Amino acid sequence: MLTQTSLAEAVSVQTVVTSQRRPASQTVRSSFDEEPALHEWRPPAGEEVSDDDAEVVPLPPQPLPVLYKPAPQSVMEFVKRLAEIGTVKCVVVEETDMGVIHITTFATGMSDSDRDAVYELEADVIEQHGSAFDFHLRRAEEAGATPAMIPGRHFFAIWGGLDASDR
Amino acid sequence: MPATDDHLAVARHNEEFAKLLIAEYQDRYADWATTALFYAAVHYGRALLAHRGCPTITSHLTFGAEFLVHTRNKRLYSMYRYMKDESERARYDCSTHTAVEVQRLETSRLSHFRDAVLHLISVTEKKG
Repeated sequence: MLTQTSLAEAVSVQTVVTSQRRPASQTVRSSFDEEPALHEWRPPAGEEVSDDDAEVVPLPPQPLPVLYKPAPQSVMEFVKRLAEIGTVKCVVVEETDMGVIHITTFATGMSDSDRDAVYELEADVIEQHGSAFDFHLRRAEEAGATPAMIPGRHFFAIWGGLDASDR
Repeated sequence: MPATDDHLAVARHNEEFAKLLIAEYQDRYADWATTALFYAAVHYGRALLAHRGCPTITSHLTFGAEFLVHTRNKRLYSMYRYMKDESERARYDCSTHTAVEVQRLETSRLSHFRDAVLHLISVTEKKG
């Protein structure tokens, strides 16, 4: 499941009430969700205000980046399904600085049908969760040794070593 | 931003380079021939996306995923991924490729990928 801040949502905040005297009943809200903001503005005690005191200032839409962040669940579903392919040895998942999820599957003795099965699972993930993925499929016997972790935010999902006897 | 024809020209260029390497050197530079075939596929894919007016893809990392999102064609995605992995085997895992393997890659993957992309482009042109 993707969490997303859409451009449409972001630019929907086009007006704000800017007044030193805001109607007592008005709650400051964010259009990003339905949760109320952290505080509710109230006039100082003893003062009365009306809607006429509020000045509405339109703001032009501001371009904001659209962020896609694949939830770990999407990766875990992929890994679970991948584990059913007998030649798969392990999968390494890393999140790059750019927010791209880098997923490398290691397998031994893969047939072309095994490879196509892996690509099919990758395609399912992309279709369901968006394009923020960079997939790789490598032969464990050629990669050798144990995958090395890289600095940064990342996580591994490994259920066997690269050595075929470890599975 | 390169246009459809620009990408097609580079794709053919890369394809010719792969064939030249195999014809002249057989196994010797089969690794680079493999990579040249992969980059031919990349440009065929980009040609299709450019033809469809898709946004410029600024990151090579997610090209495969973007290609699938825009084409919704798992078969083409699978062909692309196969060629990408073969190219990475040659470049990063020191895998030894042969001329026979390169020719098989061309006939079993790239040629189908190329023909499908060109067909999709021509179909759209006829409709336009």
